Amino acid sequence: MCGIAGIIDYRGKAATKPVIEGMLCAINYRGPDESGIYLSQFAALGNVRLSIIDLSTGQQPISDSSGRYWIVFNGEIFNYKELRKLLLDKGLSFKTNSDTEVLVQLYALYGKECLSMLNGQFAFAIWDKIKEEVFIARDRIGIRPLFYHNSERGFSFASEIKSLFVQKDITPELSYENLSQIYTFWTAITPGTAFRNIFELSPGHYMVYNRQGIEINKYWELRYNDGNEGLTLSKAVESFHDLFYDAVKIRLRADVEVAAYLSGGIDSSSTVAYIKNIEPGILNTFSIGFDDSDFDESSYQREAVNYLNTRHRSIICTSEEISESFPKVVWHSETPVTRTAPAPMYLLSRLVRENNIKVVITGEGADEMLAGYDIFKEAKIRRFWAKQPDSVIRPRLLTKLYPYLPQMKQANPAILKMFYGYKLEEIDNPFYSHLLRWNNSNHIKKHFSAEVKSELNGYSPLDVLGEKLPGDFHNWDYLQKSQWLETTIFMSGYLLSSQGDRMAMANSVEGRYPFLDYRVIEYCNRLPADFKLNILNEKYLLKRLMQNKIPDSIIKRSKQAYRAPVKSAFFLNKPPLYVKEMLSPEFFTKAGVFDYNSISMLLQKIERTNNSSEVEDMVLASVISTHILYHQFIEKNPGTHQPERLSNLKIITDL
Amino acid sequence: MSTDAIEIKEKVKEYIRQATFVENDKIKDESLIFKEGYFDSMGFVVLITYLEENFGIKTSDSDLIEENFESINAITDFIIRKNSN
Repeated sequence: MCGIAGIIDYRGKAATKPVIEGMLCAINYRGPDESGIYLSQFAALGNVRLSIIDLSTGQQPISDSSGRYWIVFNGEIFNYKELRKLLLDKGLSFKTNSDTEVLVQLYALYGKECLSMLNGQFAFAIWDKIKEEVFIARDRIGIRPLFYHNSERGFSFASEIKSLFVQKDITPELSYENLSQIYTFWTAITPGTAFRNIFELSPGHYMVYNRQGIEINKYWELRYNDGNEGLTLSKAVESFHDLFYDAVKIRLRADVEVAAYLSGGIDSSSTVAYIKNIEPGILNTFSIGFDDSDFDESSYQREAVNYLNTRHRSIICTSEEISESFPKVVWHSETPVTRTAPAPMYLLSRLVRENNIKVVITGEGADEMLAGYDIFKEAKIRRFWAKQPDSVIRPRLLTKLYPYLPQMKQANPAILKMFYGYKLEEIDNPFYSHLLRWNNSNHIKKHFSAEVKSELNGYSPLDVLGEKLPGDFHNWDYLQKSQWLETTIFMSGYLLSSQGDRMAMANSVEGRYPFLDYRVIEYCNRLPADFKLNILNEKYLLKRLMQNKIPDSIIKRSKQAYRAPVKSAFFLNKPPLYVKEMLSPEFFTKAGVFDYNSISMLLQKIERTNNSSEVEDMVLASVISTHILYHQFIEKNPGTHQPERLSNLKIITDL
Repeated sequence: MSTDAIEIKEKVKEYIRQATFVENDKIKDESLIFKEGYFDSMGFVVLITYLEENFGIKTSDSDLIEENFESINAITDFIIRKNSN
């Protein structure tokens, strides 16, 4: 796991050592163990390395055996041992034991076709000295990040945006259109980011940059089809077991200790049970709890720990810690966030690192692949209700879905209609499952400043998304459509980034996700809907698989959405000084995104009633995080930060 | 019992078996599918949706009472009654 950066400039000015060093310094926490730079006439590539595989000789950049291709690589190729054997059988030899060298040799032999052979989480760049072009690729589902900027002055890329801003000629500027997307979907639609002219390479894509410019192509995408005629549930459970077993097994490959998150839910309990089955020795597990009982799952965590017999450490996260760490969360996310939920993930990875652990396996992805989220059930109930919109009985099922939401406890039919009746009868809308959630988020935009409202006049993020839908989207069933939306937008754009890579790498910790092994993904996407969401019983196949392998109470517990407190973090218990500053009239004027009077009225209402709704919490988190982002990236260009020293820097000059 | 009724009953039975992944002979025609735990209240959603989509019936709130759906027999009677109206 690492950070990478690079500049390609055909004017022959790429070889600017201080600039590439500065770019690496900005993301040094991604790879504090060692660093390396490759400099040639047109290309400068750099890497900061978190050593996990081949600790002694895996330093980057590395070339293939001919010296033609030079690679910088962030991530892991979990099947590198098998690929290495394949290359050895073809007569190739290796200087190191690293997966990085396997990757560059594989590319030298197979070119872009190598991507389909990789099972991993990665973003890498390979400079071809002969063709004088760079090839950049990102993993299928977007676990590892990769951003780029292109102008007449040259092309540059990096694992994080702040690294690009180190270049003096790139001026950070917020994109209002993309902010509008973020306040709808909780993420910008790929390849957009919160910043103008800064793009990400979309998951499952590769790009080539040469004198002709940029060419981007897709090599993998989510597909849903029932290729399993006559498949029985028991056979599916068996096949899933085989795949998942191997997905966990290859994710245990590392030359350092591998630990796991154990949240008390079925997903992480399942991954931990498989790890213990494969490697029965001592396993370190970690979890986070909340001092606010509305958010806490500690009792289930204890139960899982006792049953699975792990060496467990947990921290109780307070509202104060959430608000204190929030500026760091924004700094690492590089985007406004509509909630505080990334903060506990940041605190959790800090705990992991304090225990000298660099790698954790988590249960991320099960909810998307096996239809675990309430949003899938909510859509099913709304469709049911839509057939008789005046029914007072049908919407009552929603109260069973969200028993943990206070407003649901005594909700009458009128209240339910108010909360859940939005576009109820538009059942053919491609976004039906997500319309309600996105409409709730949209409330943030009511507080936009006049200037932003005027610039966005007529702009619709849903139209942008509509153009991105895959060709066969309309042939998929309801569940498949909502799974695509949830996986592509929410998981790849938000979860894997703002709650995943960024929060873990902020503390130099790598996450690994067996449910996101592409073989597991492809298998799940071919399963009949009933095997995933059976009636309204989510992750049915996983529950059947895990019977007698984890406590029954964990299998049967009702799903609790992972959330973290907002109001108590920012307004009660003496919030940190920055909150006041970020909500001051001066800051609204400076940032220009939100309207001070509008937010001020909302704050007064919250103060008067001592209560805030989920939507109001979202507005608060969005305003504060946007202002922090503005402060950190626009007011104080990250390029002006004092660079930290790079560790064990190796420089390869190839001029 | 008419051919129609037998056909309806078989279709309903098959659907419930499929939806609940319960072995073939476990759910009897008179088994109380909610009380015995094959379906919970959430199961109502899929059961009613299935009946509406496959038997061309419309269920109003006044139909949504336990007696109409408590067993395969009750569901069959309900469909026949609705269709004859």
